[in-house]
Amino acid sequence: MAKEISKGYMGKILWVDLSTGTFKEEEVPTREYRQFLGGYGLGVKYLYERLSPGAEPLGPDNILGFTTGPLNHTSALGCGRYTVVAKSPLTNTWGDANSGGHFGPALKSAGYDAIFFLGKSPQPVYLCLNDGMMELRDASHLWGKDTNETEDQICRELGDNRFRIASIGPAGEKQSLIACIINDKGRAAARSGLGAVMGSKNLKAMAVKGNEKTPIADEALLGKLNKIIRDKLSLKPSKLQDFIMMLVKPLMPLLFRLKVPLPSPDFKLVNQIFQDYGTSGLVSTSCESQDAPIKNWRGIAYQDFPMGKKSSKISDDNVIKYQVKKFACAKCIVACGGIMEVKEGAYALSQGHKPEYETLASFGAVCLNDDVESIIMANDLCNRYGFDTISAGATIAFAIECYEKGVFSQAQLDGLDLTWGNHAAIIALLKKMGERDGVGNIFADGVRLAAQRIGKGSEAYAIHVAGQELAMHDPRLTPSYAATYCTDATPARHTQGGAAYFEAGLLKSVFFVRDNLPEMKRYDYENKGKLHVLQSNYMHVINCAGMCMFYPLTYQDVPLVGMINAATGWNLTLDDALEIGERIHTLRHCFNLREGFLPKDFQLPLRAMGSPPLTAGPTKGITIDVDTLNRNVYLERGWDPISGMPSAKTIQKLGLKELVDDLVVAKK
Amino acid sequence: MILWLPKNKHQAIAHEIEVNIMGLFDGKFLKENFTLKLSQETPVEEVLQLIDKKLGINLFTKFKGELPANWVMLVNGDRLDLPVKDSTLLLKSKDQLSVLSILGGG
Repeated sequence: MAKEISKGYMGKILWVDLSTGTFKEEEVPTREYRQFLGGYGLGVKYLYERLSPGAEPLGPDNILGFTTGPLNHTSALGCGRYTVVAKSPLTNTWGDANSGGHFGPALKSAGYDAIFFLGKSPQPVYLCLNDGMMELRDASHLWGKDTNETEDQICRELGDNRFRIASIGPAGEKQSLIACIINDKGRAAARSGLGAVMGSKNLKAMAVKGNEKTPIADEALLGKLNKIIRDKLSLKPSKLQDFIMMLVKPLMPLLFRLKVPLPSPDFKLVNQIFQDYGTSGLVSTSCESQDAPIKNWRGIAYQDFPMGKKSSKISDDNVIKYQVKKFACAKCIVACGGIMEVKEGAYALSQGHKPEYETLASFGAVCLNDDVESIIMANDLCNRYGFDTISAGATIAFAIECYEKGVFSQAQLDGLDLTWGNHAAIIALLKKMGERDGVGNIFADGVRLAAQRIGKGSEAYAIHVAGQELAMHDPRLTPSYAATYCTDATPARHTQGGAAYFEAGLLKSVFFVRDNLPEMKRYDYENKGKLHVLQSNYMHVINCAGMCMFYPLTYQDVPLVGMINAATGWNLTLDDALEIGERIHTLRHCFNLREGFLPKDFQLPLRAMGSPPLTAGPTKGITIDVDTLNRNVYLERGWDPISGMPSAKTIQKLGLKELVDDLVVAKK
Repeated sequence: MILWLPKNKHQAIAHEIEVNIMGLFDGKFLKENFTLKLSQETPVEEVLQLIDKKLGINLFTKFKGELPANWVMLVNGDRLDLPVKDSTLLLKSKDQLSVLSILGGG
């Protein structure tokens, strides 16, 4: 019988046992790709099967996976993202983290859809995959180096700059629970503390290079779909478009008067903003509207961080004036990234990646820091140490509030005068955290552990869900972020979909046109469960296929399902794709249930829900009804809101019965 | 005798407000910060028409006070939620009016 070849995939994964230094290839049946798609979908399938419940996240029994999707390493535009998976040491829940750059496609070019690491190496090593050869190489000389030095050194010793490298810095080596994994010197698989897992395995880096091509079912169709994206998002009109515009422009007033429907240029302009500024273009509006949290989630924008005097200094033109060149991830035509240079001063920097919105908010608005050069430096330090910038900035804001409230004296902070906006002290503390030096050791593992270590009521200032620091979007302005923070298996994350983008008017619910969805009102807590679930499921498809979420955010009708079909030869409908997303979401959730978590373990901090409400500003008087939002999401998914258990019908529908049978039996 | 009285060049501009417009509005990216002079305390809807006139656009007037969901209007930092045409708020000296469009974030 001829071997089934899965189009869109390399057809196999690699298991690396770091304890024994051995490798094992495993073929993946098409059925499993079809059910779990790729990325963390594939990751959760294998980890649910092979990772024992109760495993220590920083012990040898944890499994660390690097996973790709069917659109990686193809001609598909905007599809350079890959995912890292493991049990999270920060939350003890399911953990995954998404990164861009060029590492994901390179991993597939080495011949694998995913690589999973078991055990622990007796000494530091890095994995080298080189045109079919695989080797665990000694990394003792790299241990202690930052991620940028590591990438440079590995390329030098391998004699080839074409290697793509993912590595940890000192933060991961020291098993900081907010450590991340860095590739391309500044793209981060940031959340869930997975850098610590990598460090716990004595795995310093992966260096990959290969020549394998992804088999594609219909390259011509993929090309046509790419053209649609290019035409919609391209900022350089073709000569034909120029000519047509020249003819049409004088007729525009007549066309408007006759109500001739014209295509909205909105998405091109959003794309323009992303291309010109990256997400740094969003900072001042987000701060002023209080989408961004201010002053450790208790501040008021116009009082504490007003646009005119403060937030504009860390936004758009004031950020990109330091940009010396652009950076694009693999196959991306937006190129929201950039390389920065700060020529002189206390934060002089010869080359570092541009901070994006989350970093500018976490080291800026949350800390009341309006010094953009210090934030550029903070971003570079986080990249080099290997810290999640959201968690690191949020933890420093927590430390500032502790100092303000007298929990720490200056002497106890190793002499740091850690006041709001004191950027020198912020940078100094960040360095201490990276080295676990002095007081830095207290804060190196995020806010929950820091508050536990400190006590004295500091828990009230620790803004997290189940241990992970909240992303920089305030549910008091956009309530459905609360549901995403609390009901996704990786808590506190903003990239896992939900109704928030509809509440904010960014996406249109007619995308899911065959459902009768009620009109979206921002502070209506009922009636959102269905849309929240649909968009979450869709987001899993986006993430697990390997596409950057900014593509469907900018152009909602991006032909994602068509692109998956073109690559794989499948004939998925939107409903089929959403079912895959639901399966992925449910299995990640079952992972948490099996670890003993209940819905009540994912609580939004009182401050973030507006209890008590702010007394002024754009979210004055707002307390959001998180319980209703979350309950409606659970019910829509067919989960019990108290136990979290999916119904038998849901498990059956998703074909998960065999996989989660242990969970069903245990919960009976 | 014709008594010619020159116009008072310093005719009272009784009120100056600060205006911030930032974000994507109906196909235009705006990033504006300016002072708007008002001869008297002025309703918000009328101020928006003055903004349109100053910037040479037809934006806020076109929406007749019913703003899209992703626009946030702040007066002195507090959000104005009503349809603007129903607001009885009068803007006066040293007030700040901000109109922002939320673009999402990453």
